[in-house]
Order: sequence, then structure tokens, then C-alpha cells
Amino acid sequence: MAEVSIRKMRKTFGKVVAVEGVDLEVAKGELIVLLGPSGCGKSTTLRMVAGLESISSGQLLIEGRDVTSLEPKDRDIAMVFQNYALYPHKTIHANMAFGLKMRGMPAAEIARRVDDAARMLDITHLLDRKPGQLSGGQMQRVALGRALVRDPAVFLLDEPLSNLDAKLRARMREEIALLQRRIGKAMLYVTHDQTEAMTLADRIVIMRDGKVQQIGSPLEVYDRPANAFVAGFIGSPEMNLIEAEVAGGRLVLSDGVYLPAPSGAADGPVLAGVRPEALVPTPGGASLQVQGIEQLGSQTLFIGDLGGHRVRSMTGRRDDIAINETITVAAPEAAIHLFDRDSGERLATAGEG
Amino acid sequence: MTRWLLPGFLAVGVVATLVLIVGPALYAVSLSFYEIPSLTADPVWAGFANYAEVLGSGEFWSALWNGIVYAGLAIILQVVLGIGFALLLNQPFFGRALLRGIAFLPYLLPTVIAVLVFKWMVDGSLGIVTITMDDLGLPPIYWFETETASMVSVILISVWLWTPFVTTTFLAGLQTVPTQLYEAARVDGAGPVRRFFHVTLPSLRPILTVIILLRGVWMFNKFDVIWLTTGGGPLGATEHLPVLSYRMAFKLYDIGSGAAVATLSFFVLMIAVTVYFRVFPIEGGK
Ligand SMILES: Nc1ncnc2c1ncn2[C@@H]1O[C@H](COP(=O)(O)OP(=O)(O)OP(=O)(O)O)[C@@H](O)[C@H]1O
Ligand SMILES: [Mg+2]
Repeated sequence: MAEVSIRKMRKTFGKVVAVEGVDLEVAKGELIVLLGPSGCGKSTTLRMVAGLESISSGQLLIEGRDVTSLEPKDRDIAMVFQNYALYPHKTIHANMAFGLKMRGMPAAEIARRVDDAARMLDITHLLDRKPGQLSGGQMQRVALGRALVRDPAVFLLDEPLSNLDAKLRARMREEIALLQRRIGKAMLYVTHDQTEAMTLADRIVIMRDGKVQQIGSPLEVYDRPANAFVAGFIGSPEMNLIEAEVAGGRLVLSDGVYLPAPSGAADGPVLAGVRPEALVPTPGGASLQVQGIEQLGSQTLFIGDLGGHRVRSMTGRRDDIAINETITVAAPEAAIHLFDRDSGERLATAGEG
Repeated sequence: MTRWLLPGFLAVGVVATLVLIVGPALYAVSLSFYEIPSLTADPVWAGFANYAEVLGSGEFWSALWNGIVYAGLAIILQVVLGIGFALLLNQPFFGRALLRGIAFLPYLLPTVIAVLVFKWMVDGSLGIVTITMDDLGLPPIYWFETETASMVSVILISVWLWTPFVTTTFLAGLQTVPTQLYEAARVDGAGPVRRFFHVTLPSLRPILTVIILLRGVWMFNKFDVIWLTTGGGPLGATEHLPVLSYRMAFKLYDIGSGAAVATLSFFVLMIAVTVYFRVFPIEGGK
């Protein structure tokens, strides 16, 4: 049985459609990341699951129970907010205990749960402090702890790491992943950071303008983006999207500049996608005039002109090439994605059925 | 040039404060040590005689008590009602902006006008309240006739005039409480009442501390409402220290005793404020 079932869930604010018919089943122990650009409706979706935003139409089941119109407290969820939302005048202990107290749990049980969670998150020494005396990372832990003690069926997290610096974010990301494996609960996690999504998610839900674009495991959405938007959004550096033409089994970028086309691709104009890491310098490939070079340490990123298209090519470290030199690049057939030029939808090719 | 600018401005401020505030205050205090039988008579040094006389009189103590009752009840009502209205005006509803504006109006009225209007409205023969109640078959209320009614009336007028101050200040404060705190409390299972006591009130505690302090000091020193309505009567039932001081100085021409009452009033207030700050440290929060 799915832990969370979202069925045709929709949200309108007056005339604005914030979320357009989301369908999603979350299994127990599954970590789902809602990913998309700003304003795409991630938070609204999460808040509808939390019960902080009413559901305009559709249905929401948690552990098989219809909770569509229940108050947040009756949904068996816990939430971690972007700005932590810790009660500033309460101690850390009281912050974590508050939800349990409101539910009338016996004091001994509350104390036990708070202690357990505090130990798990390594914040035992902070319990007597107030939120104002904590660093951002510590507050984030407390916010997690407050959700953890509740032991809910579903954890909801809205950009929980966005206020932390890059290093701390990476560490907390790992910790959340570990924690989630350990407690084995369903988790819905909102972010606009695709690295966070790729590293954390069991499955990613990619949204745009209130609509779900694709649902799949990180590698599925990386390997087989459902449309050009997903292709451009997932992966770093961004996938090269080139207006090209399929003709005679080849992808024609311009006169005399070719890449291979996936077998079975129909002739005609397409939007072709190839990831920088798949478009690598190769003897005898298509000519790329280098216009910019970014050294990343272990890797080198070339930015240049390929048959009149601006593209990026990434390879292992190279420091033998200068700007304005011409290199030749190639990509394997399997690394070429084709999309419809108008709709942006993925075009079926032979290998994919 | 600029080197003298800051000290220059400061000097102006200091001089103005000395001349306009500290000077008169000290002068008033000094008067309390003299016997001054009239405004034109020469003061005669009297030491603490005025204080002895004032403190030995029942008038002073009953005026002090009246002032505490008047200020205390007025503040409690202002704060409770003010917070209530602020919470109501913070709910989304049609015409909220208009109502917020209207709610502030009483505060803009000069006290004299408000009090006179109130007296007309409850006038025994012509007042609109009196006539309306009569039309409705209700028994008349004698607003300023009995001792208790007078006290209740001056308190009600004060509450009506200054509740908007509390409402507006508290309403402004409400805007600063992060909505995420309320959402977290909702997820934690706190209903509206618990959200008020666990989120709103603690967040606005510093503001509330200042509101109560300011309103307390103002109410304790408030002269015009009582003077214009009851003049301290009937039988001194609403006479508090400011009115007593005024009556002694300008009705009985015992300026020394009037000044002594004012000085004592100042000390009472100072002690009250000091205790208040001990009990409710203003930095609150952390
Ligand atoms: N209370 C509201 N009233 C009106 N429109 C709203 C409201 N809340 C959200 N919206 C609109 O709904 C859309 C989705 O908003 P949402 O907050 O879900 O975006 P998001 O994906 O979380 O973006 P971000 O990454 O910036 O947080 C936006 O167009 C937003 O303007
Ligand atoms: Mg958001």
C-alpha cells in the first residue's frame, strides 16, 4: 500500500493555477524530491499535503486514509520549514517537545523521544539553549529533530537546506539521506537544487508551471528526460540543446557538421540534446572552435561554436588547448536525445520503443 | 567646522532640555518646600511641612488609591480590548483596511472634544444616549451621579479614547510575527488559542511591555478626562493625584502642598516603573 497517494491534486489561487493535477504514489521508506524552477508549484504541492493550503480539487490519502480536508495535526505528517520556524522564545527542548505536548503525550515519553532524537542528531548539548543562540546548521538539526520526535507517517521538507552555505549543505544532505534510510519513513522533499535532488532522491518529480513534467529515479530522468525542459534542468553543466536536422541517419548541425543520430530517428527538424560530458574531444570529430575554457580541477569545460551553435564540451583535465583553437568533438549515438522542436517532447527512437 | 557640529547640536538639545524640562521640574519640586499662600505672595521656607501635611491627610491616600484603580482598570481594559480588536482586524475580511482606519479615529480626537461630546451624549435631558434608552424603555443610567458610576464612566471614556493606541501598536506588531511560526504550530497541533499564547503573545511580549508601561504612566498622570467630567467628584470619588495637586494649588491656593503632591506622585510613579522593569525586563526574548 502506498504511504501517500496524491490523486489529481490541483490548486488555484483565484485565477492563478498554482498546481495542475498532480498524481503521485509514495511508498514507505521512499524519498521523493519535488524539483523545479521558482514558482513552479513545489511548495504549494507540499503545503497541500501538509494541510497548510486547502486542496482545490483532487484527493489525498495518507496510509490509505482520506485526509483531503483534515487539519495538519490530523494527517500524521511532520514538516521542516525553509526558515526553520523554531519558536524563538522556547528552549530547544521545548521546541522539540511542543508537538508532543499538544497531543497530550505523557511527560516521560516526551522526554525519552526528545533525548533519542537529540542524540541521533547530535544536539543533546543544545537542548537548554534558545534558537537565537544557535548557528544555521544547528537550527536545521533542531527543525529536523522537531519533526523526528513526532514519528509521523510522512516527513515534509520545504527547501530545508537553502539557508546553509554550500559545504554545510552537502554535509546535511548526506545526513538527511542516512537518517531517512534509518527511520524508513516516506519523505517529500522540495528543492530547486538539482544536485540535491540527484543525490537524495529515490524518485524525482520535476515540475514546471504547476505541471508534473516527469517522475523517475535520478538516473532515469538523467538518461531519458521526458522533454527538453527536463533535459535542460537536470544535469550540470546543462545539456546542450541544438536546433538540428535528422537526415539519412545523421544529425546535421550545419553544412558539413554532423553528430550521429539515434537509430530509427525519423528525418526532419528536431531539437537535439547532448550532455557536455558526452560531447568529448575526439580525433576526427566535428570541429569546435573554443571560445571559453573553465578549469574545474579534475575536469575541463570547453565553451565554443559547433556549426553555428554555442555548445559546451566537458572532458578530463586538459591544459594544452587555448582559446580560439579548434578541437574536434564527438558523441556516441546513445548520448543523443531528440525532442520535438515545437512541443519539446521526447521523440521515440528505435532503441527506446 | 564639522568638528563643532555634533557638540553644537548636542549643546542645543541639552540647553533646551534643561530650560524647558529639568528647570521647571526642579522649580516645581522646590516649591513644595515653601509655604505659598497665593500666586503673588512671597514664598516662606517650610521644609518638609507640606509633605507632612499631605501625607497626614486622608485626601492624599484616597487620591493615590483612586489613581491606582483608575489607571489599573483602564489599562487592563485597554490592553485586553486592544489586543482583541487587533486580532479581529488582523483577520482577512472585506473592508478591513477601512475598519482599521476607523478604529484609530478616537485616538485622533482631542480629549476635550471627546469628553464634551460624551457629556452631551449622556446629558440627563438632551443626550442621545439618554433619549434612545428612554425610547427603548430602558431605565436611565446616572453616569456621573454616584461614586461608583463616576469612576466607571471616567474609566470607560479613557478606554474608549486610548484602546486604539493599543490596537494599532499591537496590530503593527502582529505583522512582524513570521507566518511560518503559526504554520509550525498548526502542524504541531496547536489550535487558535494555543497559537495565541505560544506564538503571538511571546513574540509580542516586548511590544506589550512597552505598551503597558506607556499607557500606565499616561493613565496615572492623566488629568483632563477626570477634570473635565467629574472634576474629581462626587465626594472625591474620582479625585486622583493630578486632580488633587491641581485643586490644592489652584483652588485652595496652597501651592506648596500642590507641589508636594505632584512630587510625591512622581516618586510613586518612579518606584512603580522601576519595579515594573525588574519584573518585566524589556529585552524579553533571549
Ligand atoms: N497564497 C498565494 N496566493 C496567490 N498565489 C500564490 C500563493 N502562493 C503561491 N502562489 C502562486 O503559486 C505559484 C506556485 O508557488 P509555489 O510557492 O508553490 O512555488 P515554488 O515552486 O515553491 O517556488 P520557489 O522555489 O520560489 O519556492 C506561483 O506562481 C505563486 O505566485
Ligand atoms: Mg517554495
